[in-house]
Amino acid sequence: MPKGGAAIFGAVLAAVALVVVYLAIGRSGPRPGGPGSLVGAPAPSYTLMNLDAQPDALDRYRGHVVLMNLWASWCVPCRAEMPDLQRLYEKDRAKNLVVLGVNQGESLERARSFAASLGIGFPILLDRNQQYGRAYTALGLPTTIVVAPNGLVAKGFDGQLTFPEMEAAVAPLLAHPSQ
Amino acid sequence: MLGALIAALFWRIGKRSAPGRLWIGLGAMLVGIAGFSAALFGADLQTLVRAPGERVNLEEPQGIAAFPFTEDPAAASLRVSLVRGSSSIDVGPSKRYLMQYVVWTVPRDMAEVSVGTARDEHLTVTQPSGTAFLSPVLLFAQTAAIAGKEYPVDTFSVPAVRRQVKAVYFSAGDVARLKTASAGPALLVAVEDDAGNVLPGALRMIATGSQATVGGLTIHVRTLTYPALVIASAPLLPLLVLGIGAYAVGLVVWLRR
Repeated sequence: MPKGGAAIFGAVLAAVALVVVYLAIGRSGPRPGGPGSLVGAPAPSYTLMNLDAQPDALDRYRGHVVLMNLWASWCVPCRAEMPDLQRLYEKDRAKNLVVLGVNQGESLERARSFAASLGIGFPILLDRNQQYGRAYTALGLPTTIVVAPNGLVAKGFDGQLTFPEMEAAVAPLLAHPSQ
Repeated sequence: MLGALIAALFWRIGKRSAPGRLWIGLGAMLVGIAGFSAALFGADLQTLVRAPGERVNLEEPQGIAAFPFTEDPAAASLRVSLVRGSSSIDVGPSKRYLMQYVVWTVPRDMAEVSVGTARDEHLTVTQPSGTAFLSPVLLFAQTAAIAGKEYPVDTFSVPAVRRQVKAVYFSAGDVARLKTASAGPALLVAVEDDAGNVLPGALRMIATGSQATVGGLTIHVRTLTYPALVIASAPLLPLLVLGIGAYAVGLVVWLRR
């Protein structure tokens, strides 16, 4: 082989080796979890009973902007957040917003009396086996997920949100539903 | 490494005139680079143990690992889905190549608990130190020695009544050795208060498929065998194919000489 050919051959091999090593450098494994980790992915949906003992599910609200809130009655920040969720629901429901509460693991009686005591009017699902909590890798309660009208997860929040934070979370999607 | 050695050998042979030497050398070297880089720089073997219904966002292979829900306690035949954009790949016990990774599933023992008050009012189960905070499925990532033998252990909380529960997994074989009336796997549970003290009389063995009232809690146990996802690094598949192809071409040319 002429000297020039050998040099090109060597350079090509070296380049291949570098690319392969770069690709092979181990990055496997999970990203940090939490409700934000599924942003951009299809939003998992499970059919459960609501407080009226009727079947209901997240994907029933496809085409709406959904602010889904995972809660339980023993969770103090969940209780504190509820009036703001109701306020947001009343303010933006005409603009295509659905607020969907998902009770985590409690009985119908407990969830119903909690909702009644706070004057909650938005739909609430009873997630007895905590399917939504698992699927959205909740780190704690409350957990809030914003789902775009196309059924993809748009945002995820761990912990209590203030009313301005809730408004800011849904405002871009209400203004531009195709986002 | 072996590929690199073969490459060097054929290069030496080739220097003495064999046609096709370049192809043989190139092919062997590509295979060598692919294997060597995977072994030296590839990710460590990882086993993702997750509860039914959990979803995990993976760095590499890129995608979301979706662990399916099941009502079937013998769920070892289930497949984990790797969701990548709009497509999905089912992963089972057979190994599957995904570029520079190999993925497959292995069976793993778990237990799902359902907890209520003594009046059977259902309560939330949390796992503050688990992979999913709101999961009622115990994955038994730890073990503890009891009477000289290691047993899988896990804990969960029932925050509505401020109780912690420690659980030890006993396989069907372990239960048989204990000569209890029940057959099949079981959990030994201990209910503790906020301060970590076991409540009086709150220690009990609960067989799979049954429930018992322990420390004021009604605990239902269902053990299951469920797939865990294994991810290992592998030689980059296109490079491996290219290398083997080049090697074969070179060998044919050399032999036909």
